[in-house]
Amino acid sequence: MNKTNPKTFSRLMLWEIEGCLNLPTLLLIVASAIVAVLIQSSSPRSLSNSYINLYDGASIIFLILTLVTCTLFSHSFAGSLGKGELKRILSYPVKRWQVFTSKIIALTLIVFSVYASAFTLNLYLSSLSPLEPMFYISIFTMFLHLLLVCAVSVGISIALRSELMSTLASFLLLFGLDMAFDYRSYLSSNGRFTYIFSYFQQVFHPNFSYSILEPPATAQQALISIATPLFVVAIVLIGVFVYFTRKMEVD
Amino acid sequence: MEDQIIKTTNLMKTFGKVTALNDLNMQAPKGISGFIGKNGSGKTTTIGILLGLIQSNGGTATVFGLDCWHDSFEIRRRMGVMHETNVYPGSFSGQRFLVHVAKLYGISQINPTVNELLKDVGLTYAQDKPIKTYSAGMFKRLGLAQALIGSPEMAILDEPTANIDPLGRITLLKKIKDMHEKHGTNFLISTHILSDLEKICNWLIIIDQGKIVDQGYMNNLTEKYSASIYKIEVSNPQVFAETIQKLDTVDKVWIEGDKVFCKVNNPEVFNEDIPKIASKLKLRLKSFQQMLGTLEEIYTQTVGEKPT
Repeated sequence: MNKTNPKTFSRLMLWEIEGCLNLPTLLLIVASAIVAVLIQSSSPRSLSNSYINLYDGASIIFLILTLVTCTLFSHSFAGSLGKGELKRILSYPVKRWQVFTSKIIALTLIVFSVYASAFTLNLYLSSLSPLEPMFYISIFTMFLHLLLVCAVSVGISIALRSELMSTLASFLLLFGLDMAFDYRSYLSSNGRFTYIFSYFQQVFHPNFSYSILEPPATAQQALISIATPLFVVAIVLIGVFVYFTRKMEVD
Repeated sequence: MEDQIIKTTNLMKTFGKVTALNDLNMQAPKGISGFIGKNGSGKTTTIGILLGLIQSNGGTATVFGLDCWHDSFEIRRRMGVMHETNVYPGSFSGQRFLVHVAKLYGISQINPTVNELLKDVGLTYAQDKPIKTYSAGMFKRLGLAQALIGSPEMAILDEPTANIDPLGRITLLKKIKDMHEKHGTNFLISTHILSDLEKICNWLIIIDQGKIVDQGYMNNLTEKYSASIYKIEVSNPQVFAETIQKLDTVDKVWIEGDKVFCKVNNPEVFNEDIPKIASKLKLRLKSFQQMLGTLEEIYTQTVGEKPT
């Protein structure tokens, strides 16, 4: 009794991915990622410093990534709750944790894959080597930001149960934080990226001629910048997970 | 009662200050059960609790003898569901969608099962079309197909025949009856279309304001409620109605056209009184008969108004 089909989780994930790979949704993600990378502002720099273009263009990428991720997660959680799709899925022999985690993993994978792929355009645009470590540091920071947006929009989706409202609420909350706090705050995506980028700039380019932050970030600042979103993600997702799997009513 | 599949005892559910279910004591034995009530009477909430989608505030609810909240996975494994709202992945074809559902149920022979179901519900011709191009009737057929996948022990159908043309309704009802007769699938059907239930149900549950107002086998309920309704044709219905309204044996009198209808509480005495009253009033008694109860009449008497 209560024995779950071991393949159910992967099937639910494939289902979610298949749903996302339909033209309008896929087009939205791909187009937004390419636009985000192409419209970033970059200044002419020497080849040895061209990796700094990755930092200069990050804010616009974070902004568009926030908007797209909020839209997708709100659609998947609040949208399916509001329209009755989740009710139908939870009427099949599936566990609630399987539905919850499969949605999160599938959507995160898709958005990250598309954005990371589009981000590789930077290698060409800024004439960077594929082995440039700051490129991978930037992608890692983007992933951290994606996780944060995912957690916030899932939490707000479950609370509001309205696709439009949760898209707006989660985007405005994250956008508002970015606007309210400057590039030296752990609460803004730019601030965290600045600390992480600045610290690793010293590590991988010790002879840098131009620093994005004066004085350069310390290891502690970089660590806090990594830990802050991870901490928020863990707290929010664990809370929402417990509520979703144990208490949430689907009517 | 033996062979009860669904049983709730003093089930309570409130949403804020609104009481959705109030000491609901419901039973459904094997067979095809009809579940009727007004809009907002608590049908969908009850179904939600039976599926483990909604948690009750008190009382117990069991399906197959299993607790509906704690054992909901096991219940859903043995049950198919068709919800009132049809939200399916629009870009999938009907067949692709059913294959996905079949995999969730762990069915081994997926393609033959899906193809047979599509044929049974009359969707073979549209199996490769995207679901978003389906009509309302096709949605219902698809909904029934996914509820019946894997021949479940029980299927809960919420408004299965709404928005379907008459021929489609007949086909669906026949399919439900066939599934019960051939595979022993039990059904709980929630609907407003009472004539549909009359054709296939053997058990009826009537809910109003979160309480069960009556439930039982159809023939018993028909007998119970029909015995008290009379249809009388007399030469002057108005005078006759005013007179019998004063009798202790009569609870309610109404006139439809040139006929007098009344609900009585003591048919034996009433049977003897009627000819005497007509004679006393010097009216011609053209006909005088006990009504054969229809589901609509049972519903009207228990809930007090026509179904909405």
